[in-house]
Amino acid sequence: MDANDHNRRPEALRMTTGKSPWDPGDAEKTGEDIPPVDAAVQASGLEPRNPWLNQEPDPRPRRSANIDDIFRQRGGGGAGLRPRWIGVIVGAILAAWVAASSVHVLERNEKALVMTMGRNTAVIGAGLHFTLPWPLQTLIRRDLGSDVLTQVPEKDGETLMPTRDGELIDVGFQVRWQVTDLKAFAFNLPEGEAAIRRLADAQVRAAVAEQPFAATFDGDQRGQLQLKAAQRMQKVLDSWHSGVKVNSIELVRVAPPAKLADAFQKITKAREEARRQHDNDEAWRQQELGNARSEAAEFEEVYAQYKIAPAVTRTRVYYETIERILRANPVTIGGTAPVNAPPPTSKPAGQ
Amino acid sequence: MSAVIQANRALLFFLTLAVLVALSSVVVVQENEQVVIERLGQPVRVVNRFSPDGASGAGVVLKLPFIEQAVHLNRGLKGYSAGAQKVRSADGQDLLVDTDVTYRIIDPVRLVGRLGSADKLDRELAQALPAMLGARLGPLSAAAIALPGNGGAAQLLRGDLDTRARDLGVQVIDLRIGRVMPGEAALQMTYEIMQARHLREADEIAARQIASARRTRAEVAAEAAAIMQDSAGKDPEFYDFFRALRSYTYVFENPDAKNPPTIVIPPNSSYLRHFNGQ
Repeated sequence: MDANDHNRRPEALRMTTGKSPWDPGDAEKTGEDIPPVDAAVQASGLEPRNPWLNQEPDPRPRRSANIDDIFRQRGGGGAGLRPRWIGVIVGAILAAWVAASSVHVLERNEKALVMTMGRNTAVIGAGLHFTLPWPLQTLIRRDLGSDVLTQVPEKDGETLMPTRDGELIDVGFQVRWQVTDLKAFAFNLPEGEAAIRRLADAQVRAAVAEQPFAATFDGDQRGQLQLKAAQRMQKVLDSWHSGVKVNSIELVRVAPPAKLADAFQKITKAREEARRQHDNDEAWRQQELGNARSEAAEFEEVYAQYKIAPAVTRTRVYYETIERILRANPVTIGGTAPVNAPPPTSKPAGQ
Repeated sequence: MSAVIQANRALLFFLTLAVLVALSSVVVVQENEQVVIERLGQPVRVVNRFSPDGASGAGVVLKLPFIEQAVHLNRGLKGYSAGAQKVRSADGQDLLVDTDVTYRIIDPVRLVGRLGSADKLDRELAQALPAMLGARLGPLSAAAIALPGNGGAAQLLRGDLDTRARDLGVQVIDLRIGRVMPGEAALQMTYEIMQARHLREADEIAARQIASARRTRAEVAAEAAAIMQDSAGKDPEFYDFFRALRSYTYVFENPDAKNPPTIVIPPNSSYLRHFNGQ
């Protein structure tokens, strides 16, 4: 109805506007040859291959001769292609097809299963290989050298897992794995990564459920958890003859449930505040002890002199101190001393 | 062109027929599939049937055209996840449980006989699951269900489902409880419990800090006393003299004081003894 029209219109627009900029360009290059080629290929029943033919750069002389011929033909009047040109074009397509699907270069660490009409007839490694063209022989190839990194969960978002003490924790992790036996992997585990993701998820959940929230959250048991999950996963994969080796499981996100963010914010704050207080306390401790030590050192210094010359040191220290004090403050001389105070340098009566 | 077609109409007809017959007499069997050949609905043979020794029958096989049909089935391990099944645990928690099942088709003929193809297999197995889950997980606590092996229930469940699956020609290789989540009401409860616990944790952290500060003060006092005792203890009387002078200096020689005190020295004070010529 209305909505349909609405949907269709942009498409129609796109088609017309999409075509017009291309047409003049093509016409300039190949002139009137385009329609005959289309017609010829349609007649030969290979219509879907037409775009491929135009795009595929093919260095072989046979093809370029073919193009030359087409150009020459245009000069001659453009009366359409004669049957033998159809043969040439079809031949070129087939040749390119054969070349593309029967020559294979495998990189280092790459392995491939040669499948002959569905049956695995050979396993090949790095280097140049020839096979029969598609569909007689195909390759299942894979790089066995590098790890596959599988993220669980696939998309970002909270993944809550229950812990042993009945809490929930948000865990995201990645699995590093590699295929060690391509044949086993390809034929036994046709679901590949999906199966590995499912298994890893179950194993990590089980490992998280085994320990209390704090052990996973604070991280002191995290290494062990990762190792345990990876080992158990490997055991299952081995029993499945999957040809997969799990190299590691790494927890990349461990967080409290988003709903409890406020409470955990408070913990973080309390922890930071406690750490700050603790640092202050320690600084204060150092300062106090430093004061005590420096006073003790000062005393020791004066006491050493006092031991050598008790009376002189006592007198000297007394006057040195008093003069520093009096110089630092306004001084008035007057009044009377309260009592006949004993001279400052004499020992108290008790001693 | 059309003239050529006109001339060879009969030939073209037979050629097309021949191609159709040829296509219908050939089956390509991949390594990861097993194929049941049925003649008019009756299974007559299995190609590349799974065998534990790894022998392969994959490749091109012939069949009678038109009257024999090939049904392609998976040969490798196949898995599915049955999501969010409701289970009530022994401690009264409503849980939503995901079950991951991994299986293999070991009797293709039986499977095709029962279900026609593998399309409905996952659903058929999943349908059997809820009742089994209730029976095996119901007697367990919520915590036990989430544990590895699910308190032994996973193994029992695998057995249960396997018994059922054998009837369909399928072997259940592996069954594990994946996701276990509290249901809506239980989830709220869980959040509340967590909230209370972790707020308490914040209080405990603050309380621990207060205690630790008190301890620090006591330690510092004792340690400072010990330091002073080590040196001043040698001569407490001289320490008194020394400490008094230090105290005067600290109080009266204070460069930061805004209003320095005016010190009044009586002329007859002992400091001015010699000034007075006594």
